Amino acid sequence: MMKNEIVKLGLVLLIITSIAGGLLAFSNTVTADLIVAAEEEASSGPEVAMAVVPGSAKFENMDEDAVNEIKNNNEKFIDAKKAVDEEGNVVGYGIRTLSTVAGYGGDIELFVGISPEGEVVGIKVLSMLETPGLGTNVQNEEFKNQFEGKTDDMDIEVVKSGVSEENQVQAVAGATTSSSSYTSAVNNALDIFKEYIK
Amino acid sequence: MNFMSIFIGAVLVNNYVLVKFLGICPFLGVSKKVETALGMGVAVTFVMTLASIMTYLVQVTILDNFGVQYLQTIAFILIIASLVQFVEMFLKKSSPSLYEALGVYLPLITTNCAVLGLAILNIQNEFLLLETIVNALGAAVGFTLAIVLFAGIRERLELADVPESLKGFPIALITAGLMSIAFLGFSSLSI
Amino acid sequence: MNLVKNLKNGIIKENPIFVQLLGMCPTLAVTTSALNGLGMGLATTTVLIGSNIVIASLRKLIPNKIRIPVFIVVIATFVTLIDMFMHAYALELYKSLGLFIPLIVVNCLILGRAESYASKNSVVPSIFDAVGMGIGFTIALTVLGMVRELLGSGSLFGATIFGGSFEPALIMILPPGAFLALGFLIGLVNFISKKRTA
Repeated sequence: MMKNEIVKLGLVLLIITSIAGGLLAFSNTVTADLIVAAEEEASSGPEVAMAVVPGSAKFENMDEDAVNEIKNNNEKFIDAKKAVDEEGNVVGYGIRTLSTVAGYGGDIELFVGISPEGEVVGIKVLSMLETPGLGTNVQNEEFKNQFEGKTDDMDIEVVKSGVSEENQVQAVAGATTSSSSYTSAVNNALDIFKEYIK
Repeated sequence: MNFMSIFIGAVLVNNYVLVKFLGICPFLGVSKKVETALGMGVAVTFVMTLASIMTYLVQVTILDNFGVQYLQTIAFILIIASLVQFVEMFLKKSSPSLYEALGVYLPLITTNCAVLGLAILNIQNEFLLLETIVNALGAAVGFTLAIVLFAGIRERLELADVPESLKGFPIALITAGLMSIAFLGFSSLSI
Repeated sequence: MNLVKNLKNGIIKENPIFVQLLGMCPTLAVTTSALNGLGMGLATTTVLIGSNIVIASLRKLIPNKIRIPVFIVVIATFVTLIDMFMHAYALELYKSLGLFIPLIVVNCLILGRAESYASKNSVVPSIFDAVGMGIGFTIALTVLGMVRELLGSGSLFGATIFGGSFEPALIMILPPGAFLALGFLIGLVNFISKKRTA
């Protein structure tokens, strides 16, 4: 009798779990595409393009082979896109990359906008896990704007105070690690641009 | 990531209770006496380590293989619930005194968000099996450390003169807050 | 009249957080801003309502011996559904709440209501019970979020309240702040309820 009961209970549990599984599989097919689209939009939609390359209207894909070549040679690189304006002219490039030096909470992911001449024109943080209120201040205009105009032949350096050279930026107060991590991502983007896109 | 940094990270820098906020319910509920806290810590260590291994294996062999990652939540929680059942039966036979002492808190390990949280984080961090085990041990040690320290303080707190409104949970939470500040000091520790 | 009583019960007399002290983990973790607190509260309420409905409907069919695993499967299914839909339709909130969305499944509040109410009452009262508890939970989370955001970032729901001269108490949005804020809030609730009964 005991064994029979266990089998019966097991069967009921199995049925309920199967129904649950089926429901979730169905819901997965409904939402999977939506999720991919939402993530795409958030990381490289028109709004991101306009923020990262001023004067652009949206991003367009670059040559797949070229992008794959970069992926094979640079492990922190994620994606590169062309930024085009309303008429379709290329006004800049967006390079999506992780930092090469980790911050407090791991790598920082940036989208760096670069002009065809190799100058930084805009940056957007796509993901980071830095300390709220300290490391997260790298997102502030003050820190970010220092990078505008930096060119791809510079190796940007982080200093704690007193910027004296063109290739230096001042770290966010109390968040040198986060600042260095952020900067390493910008440097990686510039290097990639210089070597593969220019 | 080397094993030492994973371990120390889980115990101190990202302590599961005081920094990640996982395992708060048992932390507040079972910390009135140091002995029970220690017993709970041991039981949780056991469950966490086994659960991490089993969930990792299921993720790699079933969920990833068949592309059904969305079944992760259901699969993981069922694994944990079954594991706790087995631990209960095992303890009942092998160590009845510990079983009695833990009482209702043993089945509650199922709803201990630290166990499920750990399982999910192992996958998110893309740890391999050995790294998963080290992380699990670190998380468990960190949890036990926090809960035992807390119990020690609370035993003293019983004898202190606390304002009426703050007695019980409010003062416990404030104490936890002070402990959390102390642990913030570890945040710049890196190995 | 009984149904309204169910509602009020969840909000005041048996408030999940201030009185029952259930669901502590998400409460402390996601209340770094009012919006996050509100979002988590609503997500949890949705799961609570869904699971209460299903469990109340099936209560006569679920064998007693396996009721806990069945409850768990039902709750886990709703949690996964909410996870998928938030990922697709509310990406920013989804990323802010992160790990704690799947962790809704171990929120003792939901399993507790399933065990103590939905499995013993019919569907309609169970819905009201869920709504009441859910609202109570959401209010508590939102209040805690508001306190921490106001003191820790000087803003409320993202809108800056205090001027530039306000130096926020960063600690409020860091882990210690969560413990401290909740501790004092519960102390305040105790104080008020003692005055009422006096």
